[in-house]
Amino acid sequence: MKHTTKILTTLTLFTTISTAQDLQPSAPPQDHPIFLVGATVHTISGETIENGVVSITEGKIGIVADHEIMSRIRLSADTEIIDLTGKHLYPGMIDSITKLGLQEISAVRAMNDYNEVGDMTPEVRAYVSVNPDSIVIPTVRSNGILTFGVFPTGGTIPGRASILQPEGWTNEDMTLTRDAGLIINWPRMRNTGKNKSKANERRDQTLENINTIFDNATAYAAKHNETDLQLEAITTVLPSENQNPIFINANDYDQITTAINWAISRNLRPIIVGGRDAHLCTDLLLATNTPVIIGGTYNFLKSADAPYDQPYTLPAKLEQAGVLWSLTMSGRHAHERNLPEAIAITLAHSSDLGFTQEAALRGITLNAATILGLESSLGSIETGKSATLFVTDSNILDVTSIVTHAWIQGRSIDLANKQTKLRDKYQEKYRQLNLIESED
Amino acid sequence: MKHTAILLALVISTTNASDPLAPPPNGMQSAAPTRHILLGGTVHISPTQTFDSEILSAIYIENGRIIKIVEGVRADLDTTGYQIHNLSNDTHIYPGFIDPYIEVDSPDLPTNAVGTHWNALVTPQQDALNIGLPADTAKNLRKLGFTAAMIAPDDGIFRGWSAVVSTAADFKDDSLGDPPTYQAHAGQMMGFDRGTWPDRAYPTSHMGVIALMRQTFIDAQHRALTPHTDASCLDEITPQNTTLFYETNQELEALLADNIADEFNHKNIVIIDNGTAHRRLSAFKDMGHPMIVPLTFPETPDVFSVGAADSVALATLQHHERAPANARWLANSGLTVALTTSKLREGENFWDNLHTAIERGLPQADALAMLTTNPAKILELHHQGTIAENNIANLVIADGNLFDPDSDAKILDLFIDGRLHHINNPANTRFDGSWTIDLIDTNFQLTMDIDGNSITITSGEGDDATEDRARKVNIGHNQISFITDDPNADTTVITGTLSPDGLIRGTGITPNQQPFQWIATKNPPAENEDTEKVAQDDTEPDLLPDLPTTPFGPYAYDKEPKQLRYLLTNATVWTQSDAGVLKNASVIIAGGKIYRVFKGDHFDYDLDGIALQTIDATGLHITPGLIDAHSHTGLFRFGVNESGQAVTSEVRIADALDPAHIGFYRQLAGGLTTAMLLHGSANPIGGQSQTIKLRWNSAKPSDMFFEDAKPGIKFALGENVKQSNWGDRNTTRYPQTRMGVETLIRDRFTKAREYAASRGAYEKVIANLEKSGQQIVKNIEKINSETKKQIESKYDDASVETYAKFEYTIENPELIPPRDLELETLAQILAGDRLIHAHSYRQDEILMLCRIAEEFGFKIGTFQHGLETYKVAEIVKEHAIGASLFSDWWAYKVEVTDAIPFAGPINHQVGLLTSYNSDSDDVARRMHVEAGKALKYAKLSSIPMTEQEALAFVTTNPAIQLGIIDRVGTLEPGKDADLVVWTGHPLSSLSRPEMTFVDGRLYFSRQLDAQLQKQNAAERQRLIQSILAKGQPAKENQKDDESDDSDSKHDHDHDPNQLNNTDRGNCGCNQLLPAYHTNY
Repeated sequence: MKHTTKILTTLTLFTTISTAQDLQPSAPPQDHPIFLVGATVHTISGETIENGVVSITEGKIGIVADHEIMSRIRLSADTEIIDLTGKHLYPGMIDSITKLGLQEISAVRAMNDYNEVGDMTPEVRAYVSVNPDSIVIPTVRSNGILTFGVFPTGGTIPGRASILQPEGWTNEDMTLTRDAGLIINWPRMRNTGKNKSKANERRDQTLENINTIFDNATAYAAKHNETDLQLEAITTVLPSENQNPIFINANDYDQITTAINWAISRNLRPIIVGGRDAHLCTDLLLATNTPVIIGGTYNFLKSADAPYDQPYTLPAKLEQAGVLWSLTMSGRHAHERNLPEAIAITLAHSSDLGFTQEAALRGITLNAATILGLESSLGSIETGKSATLFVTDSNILDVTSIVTHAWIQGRSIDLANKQTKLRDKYQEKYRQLNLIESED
Repeated sequence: MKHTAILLALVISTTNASDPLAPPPNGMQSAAPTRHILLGGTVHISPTQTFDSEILSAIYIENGRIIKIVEGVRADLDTTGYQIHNLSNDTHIYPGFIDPYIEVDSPDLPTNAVGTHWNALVTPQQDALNIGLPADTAKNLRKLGFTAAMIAPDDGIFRGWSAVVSTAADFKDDSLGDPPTYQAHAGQMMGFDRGTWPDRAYPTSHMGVIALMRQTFIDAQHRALTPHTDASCLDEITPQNTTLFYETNQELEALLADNIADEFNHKNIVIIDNGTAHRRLSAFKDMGHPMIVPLTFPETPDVFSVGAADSVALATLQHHERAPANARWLANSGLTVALTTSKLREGENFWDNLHTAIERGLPQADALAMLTTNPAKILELHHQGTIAENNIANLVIADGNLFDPDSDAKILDLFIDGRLHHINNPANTRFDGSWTIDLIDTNFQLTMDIDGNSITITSGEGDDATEDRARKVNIGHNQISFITDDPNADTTVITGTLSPDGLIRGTGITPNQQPFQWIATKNPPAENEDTEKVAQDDTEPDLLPDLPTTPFGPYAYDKEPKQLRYLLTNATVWTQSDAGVLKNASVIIAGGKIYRVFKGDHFDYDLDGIALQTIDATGLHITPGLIDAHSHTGLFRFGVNESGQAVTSEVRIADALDPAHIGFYRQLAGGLTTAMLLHGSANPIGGQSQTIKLRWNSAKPSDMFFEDAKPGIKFALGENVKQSNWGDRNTTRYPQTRMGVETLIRDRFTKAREYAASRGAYEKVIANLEKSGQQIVKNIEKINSETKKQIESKYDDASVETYAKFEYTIENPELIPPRDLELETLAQILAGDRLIHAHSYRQDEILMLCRIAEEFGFKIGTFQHGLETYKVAEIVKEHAIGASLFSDWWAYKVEVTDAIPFAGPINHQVGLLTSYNSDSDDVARRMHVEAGKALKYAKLSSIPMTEQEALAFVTTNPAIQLGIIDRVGTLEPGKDADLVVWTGHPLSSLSRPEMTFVDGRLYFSRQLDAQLQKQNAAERQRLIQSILAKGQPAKENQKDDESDDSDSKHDHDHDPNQLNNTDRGNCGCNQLLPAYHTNY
């Protein structure tokens, strides 16, 4: 039971506050087996197990079973048993698209590392400049977001995404996938308003530029004498055995459809990011096997006419159509931790669409892992998968739930962060002023 | 209008060559006759009276006037000395049209001239007569039939004097002077021009425009009472005698103008519309002001691809359909409507659009009135607008009925001030018909059929006949020429002239250059000609109804939902009062109030036998309506920040409110019923706040105001006001440090205290006088020079008190402290009548404002954001009602790096009243989730907090902070029936509102929403189908839309492809993108 008291034991750490750096040490690798007993186990891939048992060994999930199995197995002496009766166990949630570590305080230019100079910078990779001591990252994992994509932004091709976990001494330690795919911001196909013709010109130019760089890269891949880092980067997503996907930012109907058709005609692997109008073209998405990373349910609507719950119900509509989807906070900096409430609003508004808790959870776990190519190790509680898990006191989709434990690759995670330390510091002030009761 | 008499004299003098301003003649002195008789034609005496062409009538014109009209002319008509104009039966004669709004380019005025206002947008001294009607504009107006126009300076807020002038051409002889001015100083032109966000020249917002208008009117009135010898442009502002013309670009601006008129008792204001008034018809009807309406219709919306059709806004579609009915609906609402040719889009044609309006149902007589009698009435032109004796001889002569959309009638001539202006040649029909051509000296014959400009030559007969369509046809007054090709493709050139004997005599040149002569004789008209003219257009014209039958915009109700009596049964009721949470309880709503809350569903209350609507709420939860203490919803159309100055307590956020903003509806769907609308955080001292109820889409912004809510004002501290994140250009405005913020606020409060003292003493004297029963003028600013005279005569035998007042107000006006809107507002804070809601982050600045409050002796309302109040909660709770925070936003700028989601729970624990707000159109849709976070982070910190206490963060607590707890915030009998029915636990992110009541009116329900969605869809479908049926003009494909596409921009215009769209901006709003800050 040594982890359950963690929150309280961190109370003494408030003397070392810093505004720019997180000061918590990283957790050591798992050195003994852990048995999590008694929780409602949301396996995601299979049935939910009431009063279940999950074991963790060497960073991987071992047993996933009903608690009755406890009477049938023998535990080694160093096994730690954690009683989670009445609690809920989930696989770590995944926010596919963030700027975590690339951005600290958006208003400060020096703290922004996500937008390189140039309209097309496929050569840059996100993980390279993720600040492992970002003060935001620990606050995100404190609510169970245990895997995140980091996406550069800006221009037509901002760069390449990386997938990380919020735990490790260095950014390299944290990185799961250095090169997860190429990002393309698809131009707006249909422009209106005063600058329509200019915007249309820009659109045509952008489309031409995209085609040019892909044409060049295709030729380059076939044969080249000198190295071109930009084209080299594009070749990672051209048809090959290890073909990476392209993440295409597209929200309008016309953007989505043209982007998919463009990608398919070049034998690329498109993933639609944003997808605001994706429900209008589910057939195309299915036919081309294109998944959608939905850019949020808290988005503004595209027009005054749209049903007020349109962004809320988009995940349910894609689920109903059979499209593979996941939900992201879409780079809303320091809001990543609110991912579960963002899918909860879909549940609240989609009862008539047959949307279930299980589907909602999949959209922030297993589906996300699948789209990011990590389904073999993340996204569900299955034997052999990475022991990236967290525990709550109640339904994680209910905003009032709290996270009490978390493991990343079997490493036990300290849930304290700069914010909890500030809390502790000022609660101490009020204790000294006798405005609140002292700890017993 | 006092100017009229002078101007009449001017008109009469114009033809007498006695203009002392005119030079002597260069050559002969012109004395051409100025007497005309128009004989015949259909005479439109007025919109309601017409002399038919069958009854020959005569109009006598002499010296620029109509001197006589004879209906039914007899043979012995006296015509001696008159030029007679014999008009054909098809001719129509109308009173000259009057365009009441022609903008003329305001020249820059010298800035160093004496009496100039500090603000370049206040130029009431500008005078349109100094600019004049440009000759080109006059010519264009004449082509359209306009004989008079009001010319208006086009620039600024107080734009200067307009004038009504004749559109007549300049005299060829300079000695005859200039065409007349009908009305000098016809009115003051007002407008809503403002600086832009990047320039930051005051005012940058509509709020600032209104404040500047108000302060300027106040200053002008004060000056009128004050003895002075210096020059001031304020002397031009004497509104009680002047018509104020407000030029508007959005229909809401008219409502702002109306507020000013109310406040300052301006009797005559005229609204110059931009073609969209129909969107708020009921408000315009209520206001009752005369309207000057442009005939501009929007381009056909693009619905020709799936993406386009899916994206087009219902409001855009509706406006497209309804624009042609705009003028008519305003007239049908009882308003005086005049049309203007101004404000057309490029490519639009006034008469084409007027015909469209007529086809869609505008009666021709009404259209005529809108061009004649109505503008004459609005401009007080007593001798124009009808054809009547002694009226100015301004007439339009056309070859058909100009108002008949099916005719292609043309304007032939205008009389302006009795002078003939030729516009178009009459259509030449004398050649029309079938002619037999005899080639002289041969017996060769041809047939020539002429129809307008089309000539067909037929040679031979029967099967041998060959036809040729003549080319290069040119038909003049009595000349005709064309070329014709024979079957060998050889070409003959033919010319002829119509002789008085009715024959055409002509010459031709054959292909081999041989001339020949010919004679053409007209054939008798063939019978049954009429059969050719079948109705070409058998599609019914799309008549629009007399008034709109469906509301404007999506999700709009036909009428405000009714205050029914409701019984909600079997619910879990969160009273948020001492009664706690009641299970299996019922709520009765009556008269917009909560009547009873009780356990079970049995009641024996006397309800006067009026039936209750019973709503079975089994399994559902009921809470008070949610309250958002920090909202900017519906403000961005007009600008949320007045960023032109660092201190703007004079501006009112109420002036920026758009009640039709769809955000309100979406927030109702999230259970929000009340919000405090706040000025942005660009300034240390911002604008006055406005607490509203979400009575969405009400007719007027003021309908949304929360009655008797405690007045508030936005202050702001820290990075935003010192412009830390505004870029390197912004380093010169005071303050640039937190120290400077403190001193600036201290300085203003010091001045406000002094102002309150002097102004207070004055107001006390007035109050005492009032008490003593003496008749006094309550608001000194309302005294104009005329009332001043009245007072002077009244006080001849004044009592002591009235004498005191007289002395105060009249004899020693310099003793009256001038009213200052900025200081007046700050004085209200000092007096405890207005609460500060201070945007703030760091603990030091929070302490700073607490100390200021201490020093000046007032209590602060709330610290907004106040993200570090948790560090100094014990001090804040002594100086402020409370703190209103974000639940968990942070890390978007340096001053929020210590913001923590535990702040709310800690404040709660220490006893600092805390609410959660949205500051975001997004978050305002789910404030219950924010309240849930209070509980979440309290649990995480082992801070005791009940569920009711968590819900209080978005109900009771903000109600206390906004001073409205006696009306809302709990569910108790007697309070407003603002409540939400939830599908589940109200703190859960898995619950949503099923119904939202405001004032006992069901403003939102899932059922109603489904119905409205269906209606919207049906209306969209109908409108899109109607556009699809007509197709799209090809030329529009590539054209930029010039129209205001704000309908589709109701949402913040950020690029959805930009991933990071939620950084909080420098103005306190949550968008950094410029579109959010500027008016569109």
